[in-house]
Amino acid sequence: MSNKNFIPVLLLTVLPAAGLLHAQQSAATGSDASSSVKIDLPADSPVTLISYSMGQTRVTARGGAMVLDLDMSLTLRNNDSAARSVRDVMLLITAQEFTPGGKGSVARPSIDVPAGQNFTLPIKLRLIRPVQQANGPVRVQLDGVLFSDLSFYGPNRLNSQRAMTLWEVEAQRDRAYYKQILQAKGEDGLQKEVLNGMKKAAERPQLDVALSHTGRAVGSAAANFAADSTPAEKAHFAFLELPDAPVLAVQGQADIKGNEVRSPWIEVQNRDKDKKAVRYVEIGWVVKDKEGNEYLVGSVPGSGVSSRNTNGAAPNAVIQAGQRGTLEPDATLKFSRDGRPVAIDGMTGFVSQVEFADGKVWVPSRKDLNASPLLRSMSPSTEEQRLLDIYLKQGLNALVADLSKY
Amino acid sequence: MNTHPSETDLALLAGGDCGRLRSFILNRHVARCGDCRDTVASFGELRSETLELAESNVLPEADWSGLAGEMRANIRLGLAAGECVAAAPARILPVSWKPRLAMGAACVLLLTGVGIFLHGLLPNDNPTGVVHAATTAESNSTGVQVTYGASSMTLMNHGDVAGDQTVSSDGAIRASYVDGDTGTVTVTSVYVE
Repeated sequence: MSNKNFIPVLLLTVLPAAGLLHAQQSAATGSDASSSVKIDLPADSPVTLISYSMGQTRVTARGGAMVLDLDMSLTLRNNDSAARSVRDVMLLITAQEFTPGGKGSVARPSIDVPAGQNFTLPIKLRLIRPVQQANGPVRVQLDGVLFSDLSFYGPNRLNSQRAMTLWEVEAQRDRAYYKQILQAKGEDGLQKEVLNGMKKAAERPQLDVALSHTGRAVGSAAANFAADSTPAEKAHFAFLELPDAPVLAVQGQADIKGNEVRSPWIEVQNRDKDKKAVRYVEIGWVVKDKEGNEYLVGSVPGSGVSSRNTNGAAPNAVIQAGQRGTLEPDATLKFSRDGRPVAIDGMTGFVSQVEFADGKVWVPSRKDLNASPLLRSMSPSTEEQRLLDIYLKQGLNALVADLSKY
Repeated sequence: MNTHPSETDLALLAGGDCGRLRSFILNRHVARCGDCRDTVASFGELRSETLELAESNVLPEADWSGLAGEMRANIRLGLAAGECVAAAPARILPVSWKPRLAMGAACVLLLTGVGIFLHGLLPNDNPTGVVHAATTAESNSTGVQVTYGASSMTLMNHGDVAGDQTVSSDGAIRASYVDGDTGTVTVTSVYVE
């Protein structure tokens, strides 16, 4: 065969194959874009979907992976028949074909939406999957709505009732605190307090955290933990005692190996003065690195704490007054900062949230938080974040006006 | 043509059973070669005699049993001779560029590669690594992310105020940020079951 014939034949062979590949890619991206999101709100939901926009949603191929970027905005309306104001909303986000066993949520706390008014909720999401993996929709479902009277609606699959109630109680605490400052010290005093709050927020160091369940993590954190021949060190928690806390952290420990902390275990005692049973306890968790820097990294929660009583309390039981219970989340946490592992040298805990069996919650007071330099550096509530942002963007007058709204 | 054609070719030429090109070549040789011209003439005469005999329905008597015995003897002789003769060395063909063969091989390779790639695009119920993959949650500067094998879902921060993030050791990581346009707070969380 001469060269004259060879090149056309080669082109005739290669071009259809390339076209076929391109067609496969285009088909995949087209189907991704059209069926990527399913929004599902219950028929009797007090919050209804008015509209949604897909914004700059796009699908791109990156190496051997497909990347789906969703930049959605949902417009919802408070259609509550009892005309209650909506204070918090949480949506459940799942993509089971991408991340089975994992889910996400997007919540909008610290809002005040009267009945009949609209509000928006942004969802900015990135999904990555291998090219050969099956595609599937992103499901957006309502998980909960919290009203101004702390009543709740929703399936509550993410325990959003507890989370949103705690946010709301913290928001009420911080609004009351800044209103009290305004009343007692005037606008200058309020400005000074706001600047202090902004300074604390700017100075607060942050760690990146990777979390996996100890019993399930076969290929990642847990496997690395087990493969490392360095023995884990049992480290004990030091506890800060808050005078008004209804629960006392008695003792606790965790396995520490380098930048990993595994299987934290904390014993608590119900010492509520009103003798109320406790359903949920959360211990704020501060870790110290080898250089002595301290980071508030999160919490050790105890949902359905195991009561250490003598009457055979089962898991999910509450801790009765005077009794002890244990918090034993099955987790491995790995800490890093700017991509470098942060070796853990010590841990401090404090009781940060308590939920009683009757649904009431307790959070530390501003007085408690201000009493300790360590706690002064803890994360502000979502409401405090919002108030500081109003001052930053719109000035003192706007902040004063917002505080006077409710 | 440097050598004489075979008797078979000349016989076929005499009977008019050669192809056109072959007949042309053989006739050119026969025209210049007296021996072959005589051979062709003899084949022609024999053919004419045979045809005459066939037309007169008179065939010479043949010793069919003798012919059969002679054929069997020849076959045995051929087999015995074949066993005595060693296998001849295989002829080594000179290696040369074969464009058709190369094109064919290239096409087969290309189509095989395309087939493997397209097979990879098909939905796979059990992608590699799924059995042993663990679901993990992570927080970083872009947001909070849940990862399963090579797949991940990230809820991005998109406020202009740095998000605050906390991890709950029961399997949740949470980040909060203030939306720069509306001044409202959004809390994104990922959970590991």
